[in-house]
Amino acid sequence: MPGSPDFIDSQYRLGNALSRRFELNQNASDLQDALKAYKTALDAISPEHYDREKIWQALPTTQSVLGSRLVREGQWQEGLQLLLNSVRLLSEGDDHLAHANALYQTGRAHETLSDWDNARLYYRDALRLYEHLNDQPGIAQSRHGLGSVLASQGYFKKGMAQLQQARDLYQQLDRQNRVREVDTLYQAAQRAEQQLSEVPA
Amino acid sequence: MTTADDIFDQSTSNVQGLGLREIPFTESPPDLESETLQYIFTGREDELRRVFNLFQSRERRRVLVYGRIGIGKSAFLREVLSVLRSKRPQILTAYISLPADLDLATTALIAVAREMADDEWAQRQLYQMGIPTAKILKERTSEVSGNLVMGAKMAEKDLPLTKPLYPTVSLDTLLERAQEKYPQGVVIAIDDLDKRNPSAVRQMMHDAQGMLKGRAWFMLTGHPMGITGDLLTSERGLFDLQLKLEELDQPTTYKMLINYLNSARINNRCTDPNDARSVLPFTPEAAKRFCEVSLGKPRLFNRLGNTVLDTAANMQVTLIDSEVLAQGLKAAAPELRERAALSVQEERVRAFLEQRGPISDETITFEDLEQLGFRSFSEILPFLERLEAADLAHQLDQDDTKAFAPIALPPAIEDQSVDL
Repeated sequence: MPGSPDFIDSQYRLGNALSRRFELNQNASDLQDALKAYKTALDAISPEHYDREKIWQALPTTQSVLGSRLVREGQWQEGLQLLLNSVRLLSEGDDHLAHANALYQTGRAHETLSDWDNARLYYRDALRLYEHLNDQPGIAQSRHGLGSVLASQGYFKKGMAQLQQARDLYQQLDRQNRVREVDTLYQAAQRAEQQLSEVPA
Repeated sequence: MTTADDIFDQSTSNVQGLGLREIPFTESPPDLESETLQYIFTGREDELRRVFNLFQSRERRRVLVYGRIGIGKSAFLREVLSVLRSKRPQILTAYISLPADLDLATTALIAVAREMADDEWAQRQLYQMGIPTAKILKERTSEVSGNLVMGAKMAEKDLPLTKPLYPTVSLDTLLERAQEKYPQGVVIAIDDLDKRNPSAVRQMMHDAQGMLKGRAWFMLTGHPMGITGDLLTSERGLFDLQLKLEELDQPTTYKMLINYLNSARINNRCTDPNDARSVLPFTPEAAKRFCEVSLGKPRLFNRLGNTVLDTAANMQVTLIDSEVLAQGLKAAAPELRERAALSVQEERVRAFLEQRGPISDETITFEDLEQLGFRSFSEILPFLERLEAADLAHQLDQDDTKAFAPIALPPAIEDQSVDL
């Protein structure tokens, strides 16, 4: 029965199940359905209920994952809107790591959209929060993103400094694929900087 | 005479005591028809040259003028249109500030229709959108009766208010009509796009690409950086010229002060910067200091100028020296805050900025943000931009960071210890 404790619980569990299924099959429609289920549960639960916080936290986190997924699939504006919404909601909650992840994903979305200024802004925000949480993989990926954006904007020295720090961290974390990615970016930035310095003033 | 009459006369006499007919500083640029614009518009020679070079060609162009809030984008647009009106009367020029919740095509339609007072079809477009027209338009119906005596009856009723269903098509029709009368073309300047949400502007531009590449010239004003950069990237080729307006340098600001004062001074028309009379009622030292504090930002220059002259008039002085300027600047700080009507959160950010000095998304710490009740710089950015709009902060010219600094309104020379 809609509004009953069982109904709310089943919607929340449905959201969780769909989110987990997304992790396995990477089908974005599962995430969209999960969002719907969380929203239904939130609409039905009383504001004072002790489970509300749990459901409330699941909602922006799912929005953030779905948002970045949509951006990757080319639904840029919809994806970005979801990400910005999740950042706003998570900034009011206690889950700092989820907030940092959402900031990072928003940076990535802006980078995909070639909106370098906003990408840089959100990567820096993510980096600051990951550093506060001492989350090493988060720090590495934020420096990676920031270095990439700075190099794209022509700030090669600053960009390469960030990439170097990202590389060192990836090395410590034994993420060799990432190390190779950073190396490629670093070398491209280095070449671009050299070419620029060879252009007569 | 009543007391109010006396106060009015005293107020007039105080301003005249400074040798001025009126206080010449205004927050918004003067109207296109006003002669004042020609007197006070100063500098931007390179930018004007680049725009006017485009007008030597028949090819219709799109120009984006962008820069920070209060940098003089509106004045620049109006100056361009004002010169075109006098030099090329066969070009129809239309200026409009983008109304809330309107698309670019409808906005352009309104702008052009307002300039075509003699064209009934154009006036009908305006009237149907509920915009006042020079003459009241009525919907006419006629009825012919065929009884024993032939009769005819005409009736009039108000036209229904409707938005154009297809504004792009309506605009195109209007431009076609306009070109019959203005064979050299139509220039539409749409101002204040930077006052709208950047993502909404991005979408509007995207939707209006066909219109912008159509029959008219367009001049638009844009957001300072993020959105403009994005527009230039995503809508590549949309603009033939992108003009960034920067802060005016000190000599140009000094010249602008001369021009403003000259437009209102009673006795002399001296414009030679080397002649002390050119900046009267300011002394040259106070004038230089005033220009420094204005940071080359025309709107801040106008706001501060207004307060300084107002203070000087109230003090019933005849000359603005460093001491009087200090009093004026002291009055300006609380006035700017009062006018801004800051929210509690905005006031917290302002106080933090004033206490801390310049901050940026690169240098601010997590502890700083927590002190303000936030966890990310992107959350405080709207507050900083609001402070910038209220001339309580300014964005520093650093391309790889978003950096803001408080606007320092220190005492001019003496009284350095006074806390503003």
